[in-house]
Amino acid sequence: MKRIGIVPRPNWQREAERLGLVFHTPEGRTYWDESACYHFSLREIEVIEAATAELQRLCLLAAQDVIDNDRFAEFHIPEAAWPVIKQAWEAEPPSIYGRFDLCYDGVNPPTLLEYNANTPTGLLEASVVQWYWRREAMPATDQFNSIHEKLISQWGDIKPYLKGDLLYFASMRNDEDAMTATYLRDTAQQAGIATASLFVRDIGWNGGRREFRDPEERRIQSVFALYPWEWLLKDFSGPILETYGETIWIEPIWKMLWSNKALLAVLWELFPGHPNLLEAHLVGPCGMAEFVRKPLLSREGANVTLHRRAGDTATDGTYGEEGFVWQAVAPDAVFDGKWPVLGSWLITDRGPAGIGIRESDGPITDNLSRFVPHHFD
Amino acid sequence: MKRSRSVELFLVVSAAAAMTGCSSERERCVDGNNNIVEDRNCQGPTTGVYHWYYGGSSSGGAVGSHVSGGSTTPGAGDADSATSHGVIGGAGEAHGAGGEGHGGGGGE
Repeated sequence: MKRIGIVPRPNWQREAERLGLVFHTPEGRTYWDESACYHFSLREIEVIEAATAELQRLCLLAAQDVIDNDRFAEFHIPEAAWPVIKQAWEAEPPSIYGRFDLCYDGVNPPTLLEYNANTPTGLLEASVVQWYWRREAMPATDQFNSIHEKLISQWGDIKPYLKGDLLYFASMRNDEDAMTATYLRDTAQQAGIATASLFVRDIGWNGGRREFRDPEERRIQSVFALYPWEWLLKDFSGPILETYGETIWIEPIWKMLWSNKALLAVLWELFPGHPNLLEAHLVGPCGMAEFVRKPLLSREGANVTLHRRAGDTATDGTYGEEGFVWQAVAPDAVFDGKWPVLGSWLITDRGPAGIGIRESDGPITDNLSRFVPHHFD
Repeated sequence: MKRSRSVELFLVVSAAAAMTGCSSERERCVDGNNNIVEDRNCQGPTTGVYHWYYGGSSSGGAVGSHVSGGSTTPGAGDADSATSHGVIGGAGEAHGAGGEGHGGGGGE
């Protein structure tokens, strides 16, 4: 694994925009960064792929443990949702994707930083934009990337289980979320599913008919929501739980068990010392001299405290009311003074599908981190 | 290995063309006096005075300038409908954004 400085394509902004990456330079800061790329050996890619499959196996076992032992309180999940999560886990409703965030230095085994199993983004960048970049900038190399075809294939399998005439794709209004949802909608359409887009705020509830409706008063029976379950429960709690069995929500509600960082502590409890896991606890540092304290539900690196012997580094934000997890500090993976994190995509029932790399100037990956493409040979 | 791999886009391309062209209604983050502030104030769980303001016009459009003629809600709903939109739990999209990427959405 190497970081290589390269010259960006002269027309890279136009190329990125053409492929839907209209948010390549938000507020004047580079987000899509092709002034560098990461090079892997085939062996390293195989290590990442195997670790991703292994972590998915462990996470399935961890979720089963939470379900079997009613550990929802450790995840601070509202009690009204517990039976619905259990039913959804047993019924196995449609699911499409998730992204493991891994620390990897090319030498030590990849370790799990967190699992973005509910609303992962960076998808269009990983699946499409970096593939076109490779074709033009590194045509003699390959890339760990079959995300696009696996998505289409998984939508094809899901199609018979959808309800109603349309699968809705709901997101917030910002460019990144709207375009990520549009991309997923594109892949669903290519699998032969009839689709529509709407904003989450336009999902309506008809109290008389006890059903969700779109702005044209059509009943919503199947919906992909790029909107975290803890927010869906805050916004629509009664109606969504009451009608969960009649509506297909993608991702399913049981993903609350994976997108919550309490998962990290459950994993360590069940598989202590596993090479792809970092020590993690819900009650405190438990003797770890150095640790990272993360809120159970924060996004984009907010409210994270990195405690090292030399001192603390912290990010601010508005998360943390649900509690924290204390996680061991991952081995330093620093290249040219940059800190990459591998986002390893898992397409449901299709397995590991590829990676996208986010690079930061410091040890905490946050909303300023840049997407840097990769290749291997 | 160098697989040949077909990655085709349809909806994304047309959506991208629309987004990079002229937007019919733009949104701005404003304070309680409808003065434009940085977008990040409206991203993440919003508390206090900052909120999105849709449409309208401002002199210059830069942070600090005043915006008027728009609305705090995007578009106009059907007031006669028995369906309530975006107010079910009172929160609507008060959380900022939904994905977990780089930009303060609901994704990451």
